[in-house]
Amino acid sequence: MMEKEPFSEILKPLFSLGGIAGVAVIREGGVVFNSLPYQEAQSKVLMNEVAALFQGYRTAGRSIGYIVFHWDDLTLVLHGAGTVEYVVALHQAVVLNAVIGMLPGLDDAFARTLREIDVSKRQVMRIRLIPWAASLRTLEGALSKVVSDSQAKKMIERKLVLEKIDVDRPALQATVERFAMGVFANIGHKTKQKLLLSEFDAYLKTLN
Amino acid sequence: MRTEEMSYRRFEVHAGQLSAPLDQDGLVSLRAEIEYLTFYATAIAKSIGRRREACSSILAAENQQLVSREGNISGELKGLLIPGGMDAKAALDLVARRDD
Repeated sequence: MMEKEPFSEILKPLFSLGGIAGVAVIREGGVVFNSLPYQEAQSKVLMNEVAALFQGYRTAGRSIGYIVFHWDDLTLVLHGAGTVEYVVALHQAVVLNAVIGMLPGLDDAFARTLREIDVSKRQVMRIRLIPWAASLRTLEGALSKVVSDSQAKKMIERKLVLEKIDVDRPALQATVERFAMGVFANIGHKTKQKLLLSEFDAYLKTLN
Repeated sequence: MRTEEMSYRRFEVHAGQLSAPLDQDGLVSLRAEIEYLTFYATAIAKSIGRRREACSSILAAENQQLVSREGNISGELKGLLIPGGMDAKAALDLVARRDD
């Protein structure tokens, strides 16, 4: 997974040093930011090699500060002592010390932002969208136990029109649940209503 | 601190024999470290379409100690052990001075 924002904001001071060809940030083997001037396939291999290099040091119980590979026109700085690992490509080795000095200071901001993203992802996962078709079939099947099939179908269709529901668009679980309760409310018998509702709830639980 | 004022130790390997002012354990560790870094230098260079032989320096920092080497060598290892206190750019410049 790759996200430009908000990581590019964190990396702004680094880029402002000048002479930076690109930066990649890796967490637990996954790339969270990549602006290196290489094709995607090349970057992927590079990231894998860097992750393996740092993993080797960790396995040996060592925390390496930074590693530099220097070519005439390119310097790669690898830093892996914090929450994330960095690969910084430099056009000009003259900014090398400034880059090395700055990277550890960015770690807190990365850790905080990654935590926030993890939390928001979990929240998104809780908001599930449910397709109407399967829910309406289950609803109709439950209703058919207390009214005729054609009656069940009509009750549902009436409610769909009344609520102006587009059955081709998946809905929130709460919306589907509220719709079912509305349909069951047409059943005069309270005990039967409760039974139908618990049957429908059981179906909804199978979706989680 | 200026580069000229720093003390460092040069090591070289010829025909499999490593010579450096280190004890045997230190030499074994150093050699393993260099081979490890060289292996990844080769892999990383390949991944970005560069020749590893053109990678003139590899530098690794841990506990304020720098291990640096000249990479433009085939079949032998050369490098410098540089004490903490020297910055990375100065270490690269020092390694680049082949006649030092």
